[in-house]
Amino acid sequence: MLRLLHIEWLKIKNYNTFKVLAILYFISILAISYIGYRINLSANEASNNMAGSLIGNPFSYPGIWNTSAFLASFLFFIPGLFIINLMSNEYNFKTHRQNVIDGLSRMEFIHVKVALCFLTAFFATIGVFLSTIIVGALSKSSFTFTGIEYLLFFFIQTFSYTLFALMLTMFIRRSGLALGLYFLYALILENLIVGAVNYKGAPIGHFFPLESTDKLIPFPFAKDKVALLLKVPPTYALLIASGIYLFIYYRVSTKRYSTVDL
Amino acid sequence: MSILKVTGLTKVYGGAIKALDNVSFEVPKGAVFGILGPNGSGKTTLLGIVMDVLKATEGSYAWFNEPGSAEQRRQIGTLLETPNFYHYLSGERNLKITAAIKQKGDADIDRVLDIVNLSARRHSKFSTYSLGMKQRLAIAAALLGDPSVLVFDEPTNGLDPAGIAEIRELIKTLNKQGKTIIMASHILDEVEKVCTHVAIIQKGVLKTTGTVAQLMNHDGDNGTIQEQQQQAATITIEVAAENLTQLANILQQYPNVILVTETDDRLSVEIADNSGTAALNKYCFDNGITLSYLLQKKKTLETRFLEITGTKSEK
Repeated sequence: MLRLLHIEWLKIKNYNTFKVLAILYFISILAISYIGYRINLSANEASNNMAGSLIGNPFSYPGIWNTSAFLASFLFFIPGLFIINLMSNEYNFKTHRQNVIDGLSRMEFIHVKVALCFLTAFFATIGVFLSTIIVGALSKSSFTFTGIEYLLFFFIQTFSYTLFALMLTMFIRRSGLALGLYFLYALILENLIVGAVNYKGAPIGHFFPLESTDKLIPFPFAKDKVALLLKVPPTYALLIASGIYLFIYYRVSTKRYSTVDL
Repeated sequence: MSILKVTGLTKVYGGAIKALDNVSFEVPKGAVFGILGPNGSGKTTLLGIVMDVLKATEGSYAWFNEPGSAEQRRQIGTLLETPNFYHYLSGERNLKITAAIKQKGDADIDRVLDIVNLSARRHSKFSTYSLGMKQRLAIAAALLGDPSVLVFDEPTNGLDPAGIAEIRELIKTLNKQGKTIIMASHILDEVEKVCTHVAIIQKGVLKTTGTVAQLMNHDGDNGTIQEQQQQAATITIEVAAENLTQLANILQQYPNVILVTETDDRLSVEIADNSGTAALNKYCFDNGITLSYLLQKKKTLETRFLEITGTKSEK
């Protein structure tokens, strides 16, 4: 796998789009928690801590783990864009054929892309960890590992989004169309469907592909009150659903790549 | 040892279009094997299948007497259809990727860039290359690691006349070094100049296969049925003598003669059997004419090709 990752590294290390996206994403992850922290701070000052009594202390430990993961997940479109761009480049340049012709097996080609999704999620999670440490220090609360499971949930969420993007691109092949569909589905379509299904009764809408990982990281502000309003399935059920979806994305992608005409 | 053996390869696109229909042949070691066919005849589909980028509907192939694998493809230098590289990377960085995939190391990059005369532009982005330079980079990539088998699909595509001549020389040189070359082309002249073996494909059907000599020579005994039917057809002999009119009159009486035509200062005689030049010479001498010129015209690959595939372009 290291050999394969080295080949991928040769492809992206001099690719400006990658550099820009990677730096932008990392800075954004750090910045978004800090911005949230500052907004919360000024809201508290302006309202004489009225806001604080309403929404709790989302920027202190242990809530900060949840909060920074939640805020960073708003940036899902950047890793999605990165993976779609990378995979559609291969189709665009026909290097997805050339790599196989030159001596990668089809499985190697798709496995290393899955590994890239994994690494993207991994490095994003490290970013969230750093942002938590920074904002946690600023808020002068005492450090605790309690709540660190939200980092794992964030990792699962990002891995799921990127793998979904990868699978989508393997069927669409064109970057523009794949991006459009990715955003349309992730931002609008799925939310509409989830809303419609949940409105009708039992909250099974939360088990839709992206929604199931979204719900792993709950809305961190006024958490107790929101939890009363939303009927979110138990975490273990969401984790199982997320795992199943990850497996489906993986199987569909590898199956397609190993059988189709390239 | 056979380098490549394809057995009953069939490829159907979209359930209806048969791009390949039960194609079988073998490429012997050390051959320059030309796969010849009109546009859209299935050449690239065939090569795509043996390089595992297309899946055959039926049939199988074997490289070095073993079923295809990624490991084998790393030992084969291939240029298929178009030069496929990362547009945003320089020629050299693209070759580093190819070398990494082939597990060959970067040491060979200088050599192959020199062979295709791209050393001066090695640091330029691929997207700034001309069509000919892209093609030469693809050839350089195929040569990386000095593979013993090379597969070229239309290798002279986009090259200028000097570039075409260079590639021809390169192919001949590689072949002299003992390498096996499989080359698809629709340019007959190209194939005739460099190939030792040919397979002719039309509309996905293998029309004939064998050595170039077998294909061109009417006495060849290893040809397919179609080829042997063609062999029974006609030969053309060019003759000349002092008195062409008298010669023409006598030749009209020659057994099995089909047509006598005057071209320039010679007569072209088409005969419906394979009796050869000696019999004709004797016949003329017996009739009191001494020939000053006698030559059995060799068919070019082009005429053979058109005989086999027909003269109409495919619609």
